Amino acid sequence: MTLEAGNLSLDTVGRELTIGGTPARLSRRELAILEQMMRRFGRIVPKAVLEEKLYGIDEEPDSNPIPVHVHHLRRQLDAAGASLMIHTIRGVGYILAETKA
Amino acid sequence: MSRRIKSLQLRLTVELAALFFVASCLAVGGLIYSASLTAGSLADRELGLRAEDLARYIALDENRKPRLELPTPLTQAYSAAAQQSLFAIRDKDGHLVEASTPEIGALIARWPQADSEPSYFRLSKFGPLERDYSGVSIKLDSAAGPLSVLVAEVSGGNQLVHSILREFVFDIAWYVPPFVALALLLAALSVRRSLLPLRKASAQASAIGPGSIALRLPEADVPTEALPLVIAVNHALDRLEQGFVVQRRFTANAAHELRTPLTIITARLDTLEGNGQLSALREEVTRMNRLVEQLLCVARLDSVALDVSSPVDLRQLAEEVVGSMAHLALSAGRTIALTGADHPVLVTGNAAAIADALRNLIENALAHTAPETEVVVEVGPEGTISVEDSGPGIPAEDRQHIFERFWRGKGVRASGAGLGLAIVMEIVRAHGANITVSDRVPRGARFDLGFRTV
Repeated sequence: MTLEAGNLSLDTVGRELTIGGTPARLSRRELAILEQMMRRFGRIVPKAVLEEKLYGIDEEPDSNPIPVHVHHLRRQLDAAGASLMIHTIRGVGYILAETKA
Repeated sequence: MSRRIKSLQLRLTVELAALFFVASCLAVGGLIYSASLTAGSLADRELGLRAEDLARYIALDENRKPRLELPTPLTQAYSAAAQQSLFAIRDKDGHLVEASTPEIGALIARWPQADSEPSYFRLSKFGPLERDYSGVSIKLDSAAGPLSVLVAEVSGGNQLVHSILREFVFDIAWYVPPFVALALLLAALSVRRSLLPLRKASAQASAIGPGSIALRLPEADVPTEALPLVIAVNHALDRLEQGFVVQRRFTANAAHELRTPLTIITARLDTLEGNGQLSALREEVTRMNRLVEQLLCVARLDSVALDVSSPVDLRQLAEEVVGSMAHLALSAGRTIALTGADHPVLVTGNAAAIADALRNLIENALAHTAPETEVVVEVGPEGTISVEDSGPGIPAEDRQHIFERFWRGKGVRASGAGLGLAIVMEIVRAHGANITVSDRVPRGARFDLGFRTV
């Protein structure tokens, strides 16, 4: 199944991401986060949902908290010229939305 | 009558006071008058007794002439008060038997013989001291046959009678003020008590407003005189309520009828290929959708009593509302955040309605906060929610109007219809909650909602 949002395209089975047609490499956790964000494009993704997805699938303890992953993810999207941006909604969660010009 | 007393209670009290005063003056005057009559007859009786006393001590001397032989105490008493207690006695032939002073002896000589009926008289400026006397002359039988006896006493000289009279008046005078005061107090209390239902009615009347048009003034216990007014007011309220209901129904119907075509327009617009004008049109339709939604919300709040008895987790509710509005905030170039308690905050209320209120407050904040700033929603552990923006704030003179329906501030970007805060107010009222508006430092407005915790 392929998720589309803005100029992002994510193949959820093959775990392949393209930004504006160009393949982009992300870590597993970053991909998991982005998948959740793209599934709920334009809607809020509560922090609790991300936590559940990350720690539910992956048993091994993760030293980095979610904000750190989101920070990295945001930087990579920006560098790759994504038309979308991850916004933090303090106290609630994250939302993937169109970048404001 | 420009200075008429407006207070019924005060007027009744004042008029009753005047009435009581006049009545007690009349009563006291009457009592004094009858007391002085009694005193007079007492004095007359005493004079008569004294005359009989004198006649009893008349005896015949060796020449068979009548002679007064008073016992020593009486002689002393009469001579001690020679100018106060006068007497004179004549026998049946007109000869003077005895007189306490020469003047009274001369006087009786000029008078005709007394009758057996006592005849009372007054002497003014009599004797060497020129005093006033009142007296009696009467024909009495004695050991020396019938005699004319005259007895007179200085007016006001009877100490006993006068002291009794004075004491009596004094006593009455003492009783009158407390009696009048007590009667007045009772009158004032009774007036007050009979006006109490009217006071209740006016308290009830001030509770009647757009949100409570079904209230009526209580007719029980209202005094008969005021009942027609109360009934007439209630009938007027009936007619007003009728008009109100008709108008509300119209609003609800209108909003409802608008909804279907709007839904169709929205759906059609979404299928069209976009350009700048189309997205402007979409924005307008979105606004219109929101307005119709708000109108329906107002109509619903007006017609159905809100069930506000369920437990509501404010924290979770705020999270959902803030999350659902995040995209709206971002697309308007603003952000939104939720702070405060990170554990459930339970209050009693209606979750959907509180969410509606919060949504309207956030919408309002987003419309006024400056670009690139954050609207902050905070949930307090004591059952409070606040919404802060970084806009121009709300001028103090506008604060009493912001919750009115269709009210919009001057010079404010006209984005809404002015219903949002009215909806918030209705919901707050239905919850018995409280709402305050304040300034945020350094700039902006802050709304605080306080609910009853579980």
